[in-house]
Amino acid sequence: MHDNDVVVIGAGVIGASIAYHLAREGAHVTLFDDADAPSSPSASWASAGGVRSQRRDPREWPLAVAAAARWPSLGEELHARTGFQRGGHLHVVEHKSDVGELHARIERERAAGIQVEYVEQSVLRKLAPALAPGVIAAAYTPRDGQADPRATTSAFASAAVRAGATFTRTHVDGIALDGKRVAGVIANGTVHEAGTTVLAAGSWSVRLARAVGLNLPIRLRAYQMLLSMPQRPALDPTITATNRALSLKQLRTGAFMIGGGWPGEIDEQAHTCRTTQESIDGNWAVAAAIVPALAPMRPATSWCGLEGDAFDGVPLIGSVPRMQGLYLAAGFSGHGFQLSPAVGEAVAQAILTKHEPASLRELNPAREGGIA
Amino acid sequence: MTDIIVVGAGIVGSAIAYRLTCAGARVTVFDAGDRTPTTATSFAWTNSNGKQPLAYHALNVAGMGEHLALEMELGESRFHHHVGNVEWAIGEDEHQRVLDKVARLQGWAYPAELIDRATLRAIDPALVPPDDVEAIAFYPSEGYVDAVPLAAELLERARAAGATVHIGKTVVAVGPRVVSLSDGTRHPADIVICAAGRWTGALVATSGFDIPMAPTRSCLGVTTPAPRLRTMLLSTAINLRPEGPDRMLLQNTTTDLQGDDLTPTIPKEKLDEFLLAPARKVVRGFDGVQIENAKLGIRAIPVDGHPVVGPVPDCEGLYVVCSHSGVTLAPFFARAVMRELLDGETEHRLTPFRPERFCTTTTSS
Repeated sequence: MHDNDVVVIGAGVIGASIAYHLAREGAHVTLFDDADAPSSPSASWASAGGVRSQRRDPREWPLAVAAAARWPSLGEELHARTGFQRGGHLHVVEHKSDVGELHARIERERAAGIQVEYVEQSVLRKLAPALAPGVIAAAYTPRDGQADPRATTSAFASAAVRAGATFTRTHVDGIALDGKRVAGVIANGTVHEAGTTVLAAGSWSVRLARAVGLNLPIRLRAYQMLLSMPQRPALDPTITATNRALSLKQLRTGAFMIGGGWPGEIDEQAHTCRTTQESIDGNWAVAAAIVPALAPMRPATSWCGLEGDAFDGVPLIGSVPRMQGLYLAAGFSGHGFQLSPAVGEAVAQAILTKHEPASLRELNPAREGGIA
Repeated sequence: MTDIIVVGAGIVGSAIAYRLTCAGARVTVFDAGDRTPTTATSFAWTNSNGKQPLAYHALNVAGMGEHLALEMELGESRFHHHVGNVEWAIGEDEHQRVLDKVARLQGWAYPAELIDRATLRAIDPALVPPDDVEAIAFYPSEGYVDAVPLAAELLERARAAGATVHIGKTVVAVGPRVVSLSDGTRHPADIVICAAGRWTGALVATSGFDIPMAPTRSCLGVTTPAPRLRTMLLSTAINLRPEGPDRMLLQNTTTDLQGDDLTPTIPKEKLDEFLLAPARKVVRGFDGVQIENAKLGIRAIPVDGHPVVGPVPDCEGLYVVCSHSGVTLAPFFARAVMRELLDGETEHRLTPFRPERFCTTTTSS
């Protein structure tokens, strides 16, 4: 017998959700992280907090639909604040030539169970008066919104502990091997054994895997965020736009949070990142093109965090070929936050029943182009 | 590991202690603890409203940005109140001053707008501008913080992260890599940071360096339960904002007095004249509201009105942080100090605000 059924490396929103869902089912779980709460430069710390079910890769649809159903009551379930605010999400288009694709995509997403509708310009003006006149239509997911990534992460971790999980705040030195089998984690100079070791360490997953000879098809990426000075309330829905690297929302504080995948500069050795003026200017200009009120202003603050980008842009979730005992949940590529409740539930089910739920099938790490 | 002593546990010292401890420094905080700290008598208005020149304005804008980042870091917004700020002026000169300021701030890309009375009613129906008010400005990015609880939270987080905090220990002298306490003990450190608010001038003088201070005073009063405000007001006669769930904080700046009396009191009979009467004129339903707790605020203002931040000349290991606008600037100073002292970077935005500017031109032999 092992000390643990499962050890989870990484208490970001993904690892903490997995630990919570496992503990809820009675598994003996230990969650390892060197910080109590999300901290710089982790992805859960840097996240923009968008809860968006539309405009996702079809392989994520089952998880996105399941997650969307969980968000409104997640705080109640976890007995903690998630900061979820349902303001809807608008994916906007500015050119007539993009409207056809918008309709087609809405059709496909509706068929997949995503509650999304087409809104024309006159309705859009009422939903989001702050949008530029050049925005002519949008796909609207009224049940989407925003949440607080740091609070949500802590909420999962605390709920995991209440459900019986152990949160060990320590640096993880590595993944322990026993022959070819993964035996647990090495921390504080000892091996903490477990039947299953979950690697959910975001951008740190790559080097932890490499140390045991596993090359993950995940690339380090620094995602930049900007925050404006608080403004009068003007935008309930969160925004993305066709052909624009942009995610935009107005927080409860009145500040606009602006992201969209603009890169920061990475120091791989130190595992840190910093924002660049070029990305700050570029990102702000794109935001101002969609919300003109931002045009005369400048960012109040900016930051970036490190994330793992999967080779094909969707997460790698599942057991790993020739690495018995290891379960991977990484490579969320900058859009894992919305999925987190569903990922935790599905991964817990996969580990405890030894049967992979359908929602994870297309995210298997051994998919074509993935881990050979 | 760098050993750092922080003198002062107000908002500036606490923010610095928190940031440095989280960044891996070994921090010890000393605070006399027996005085009304500068932080506790601040209006705690986060703004870059009338800050000039541009370099100082930019510093305050950076402070507002750092507050937003800090707020996200601390989680739920318990200490920050993004209520926006209304300003109006009475009299032609004052009216023109507001118009000029709004234009200047807009030119600096700072959120500022002129609003009409109907818009004001929508923003805050409790505020009633007198008939002779001609211009009303609104600054949506401004607000206030609960400065004392925020400082306490930062200090507690610093302590939880490993800082040693001594409240009730008075630093009487600072010197090269050392502080002396009133109990006669001396404590060495790699770096001593003086964040002693309005006591900065006197304390840094013990190192042999003179930072001339010119503190101003304002009259502050917390009311009994009062009408609920949605925003805050800056006006010629009175400044006011919500305080806690059901009270207001009133500030009269027209009674500003120069001076550094450290044990100030306000004559009771003056409270109505200074605070309540002007508030009754501008807040709907204010009749019957009384002052529950009055205090004189003494601002930590270096003589030229601008911050003093940086290494103290000719005193190795001594670093000073002193400023009016300490509440707005504290989180920015904390990050700047971290970068300068731990990462060896130079925060160029602080260049105009170094202690060197007070070096006398005559060289000592």
